[in-house]
Amino acid sequence: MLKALILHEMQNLLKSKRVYWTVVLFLLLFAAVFTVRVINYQSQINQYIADKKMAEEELQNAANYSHIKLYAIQQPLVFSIYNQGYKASRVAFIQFYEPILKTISLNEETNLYYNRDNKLDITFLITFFLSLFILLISYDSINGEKQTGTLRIIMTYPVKRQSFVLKKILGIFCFVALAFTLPYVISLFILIIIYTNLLTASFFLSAFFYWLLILLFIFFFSLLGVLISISAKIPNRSLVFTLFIWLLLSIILPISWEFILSPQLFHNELNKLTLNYEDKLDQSKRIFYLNDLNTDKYDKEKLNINLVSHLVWSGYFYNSSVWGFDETYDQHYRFMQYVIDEYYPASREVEQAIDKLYRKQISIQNYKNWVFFFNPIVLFENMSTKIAGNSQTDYLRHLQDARDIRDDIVNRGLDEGWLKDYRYFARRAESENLGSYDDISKKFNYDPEKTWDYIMVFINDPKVSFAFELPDYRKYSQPQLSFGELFNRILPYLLIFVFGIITLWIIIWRRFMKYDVR
Amino acid sequence: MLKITELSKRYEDGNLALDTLSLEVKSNEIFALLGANGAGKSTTINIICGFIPPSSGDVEIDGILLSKEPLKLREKLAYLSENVMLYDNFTGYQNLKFFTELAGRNLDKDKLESTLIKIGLQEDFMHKTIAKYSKGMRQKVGIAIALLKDTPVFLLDEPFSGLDPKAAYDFQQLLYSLRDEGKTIFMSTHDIFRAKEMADTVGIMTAGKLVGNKTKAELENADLNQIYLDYIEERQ
Repeated sequence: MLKALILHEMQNLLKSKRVYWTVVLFLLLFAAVFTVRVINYQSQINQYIADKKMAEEELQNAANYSHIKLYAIQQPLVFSIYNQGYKASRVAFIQFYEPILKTISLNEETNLYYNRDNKLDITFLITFFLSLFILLISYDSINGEKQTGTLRIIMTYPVKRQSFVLKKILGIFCFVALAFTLPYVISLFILIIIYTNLLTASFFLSAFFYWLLILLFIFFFSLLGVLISISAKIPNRSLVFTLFIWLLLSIILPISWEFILSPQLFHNELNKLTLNYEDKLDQSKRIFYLNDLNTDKYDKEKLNINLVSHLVWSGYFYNSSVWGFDETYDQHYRFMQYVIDEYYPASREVEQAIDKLYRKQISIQNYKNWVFFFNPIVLFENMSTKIAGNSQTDYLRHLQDARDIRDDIVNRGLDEGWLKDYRYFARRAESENLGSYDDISKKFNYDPEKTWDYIMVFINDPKVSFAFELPDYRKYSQPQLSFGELFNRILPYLLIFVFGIITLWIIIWRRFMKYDVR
Repeated sequence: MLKITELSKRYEDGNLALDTLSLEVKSNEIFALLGANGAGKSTTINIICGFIPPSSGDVEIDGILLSKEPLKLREKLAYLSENVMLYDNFTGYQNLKFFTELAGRNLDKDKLESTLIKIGLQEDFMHKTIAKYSKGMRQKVGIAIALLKDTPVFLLDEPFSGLDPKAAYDFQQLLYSLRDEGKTIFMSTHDIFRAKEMADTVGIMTAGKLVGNKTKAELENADLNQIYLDYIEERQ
């Protein structure tokens, strides 16, 4: 009998004009989001290929020269076409010579890891409206039938009250679940046809878990809609109540968080950390200023600074480059000593300050995630980044991996002695007379790219080649999460959803047992 | 057989809507419950149907007690209200199919269609949505639904209200045939004329009490209208 009831409820919804237009609107949104995401995914793939190529070239260079960048490249996340998760941490790199990770910033505009490529993002439409969509088709599910009187007739049949209310919930749930699942499966299918490299177990597992959580989300909101329908006497009232609940969850609470709660609870502390971080950064930068090198230890005259260009502002970050004449080898050696003895410790302090700041940000984000668990946008973004292995915590883990490798290289370089070997940092020019520093400056106009090209002349000289093994950079590619790992990640969500669903069901059951059907 | 034993209902606001009502309607019998608005007719039907619980007393149909087996009791009764309530987005046929399935019966299309034709629904309306039906047509679908539930007891709440004379006549004949098949028919009405004409027993309610209970033989030469008014005045 329950099957007949659920089918009837679904048919009833299908025949409703209001529901029909809601579904049409939802599907149009879905198609629009999907199209934008596919286009965006293509550009992400192109960027990924370019990053990978660059990383490989860097490694090639690193075998001969100290200017090393370690890359943590993440593959674009395809199923996150329904969220904003893939935008985070496309590439994390550590410049061996410049260990401060300048790319970590609180400012989303300048932070590569949080760089939002697509400002005009319509993904939020799905996450924003899915809950409204469910509430709009369920708000009059019970009191609507009471108003038309069909509830009375049904109650003269041997139908338990629980069965009737379950029919309503499951009917709405199945209907919305189908309305979501069909375009979801079709869009995944299209993506797989376009990008055959997606055919991995991890991809399907992620897609499956994402789908499972969305179904729980739909079920929860179906229950909420039915509860509203039982609580309000007439459909018009429950419509008002529904809109209020939705506005509260989706707009009022997040705004109050951003403007009232968050500054009170976290921003003061965060500001202190930020100041601390900026102090340390300035301190670290100052060490590198050429004037600061004019000390007893690093005598400007002895250093023959005119022949060494240690820092070049590339417009993006400080690029260290050295080119070699016979006279500068000693300075290079001293310079490297300076880097190892003073610059690294200073930069590590900055790293620690940044980490502290970053962890604070994560903890704020975590608070927000729990406070707004049922806020659709926060929930979807959080869920999907967790499943994709692309959350802030994941990023921090990647970063730590990269730093560990850098430290490993430094320690090895010191132990094996090659880190302070001038041959490793600068090469003697045998094939070409470079002339004076002024000549070089004029010739290259301080362009770091050209400077680099020029340095390559020395690097390619087989007489001074110096090679060592680097760890495999592929370690940094996006993790392929196993079933167990993914399950552990979604377990808190599953538990909260199940708890929420059971609680709502108990409330509905108790209220509907006493519900006046007349 | 429908048996009501000392049925009372006191609402939360203290209003005693039904005061120890007892009556019995046998098979092959039409019972008409007369009463003014607020007399307790609707409360009686609401309790029998299970819409509201009684404060005390019980209802029994064919040995099944409302207090013990409320769901099973519902299998034994069909309910038809003054304004037949159906799903407006569905056709008359689809409504009939759904409620028949709800009653646990899977009837084929021919049987469902022939029932609708039998109760007088125009064939070309059968597959149109209820929203396009007149009140009389809705009533007919409601009757078909009640018929196909195939129960021993029929509860009718103002069943003739809003029906045109022809439809009312047809419905009356249908109720006679149901009675002759052995069904128990319990109807609440304001219509004294039709109560006298149709009912084997007429009950008169005022202020939640059954104040009069007259058989057809007792009413044969009596003025039911006057009896009804006398009871009401006496009570007042």
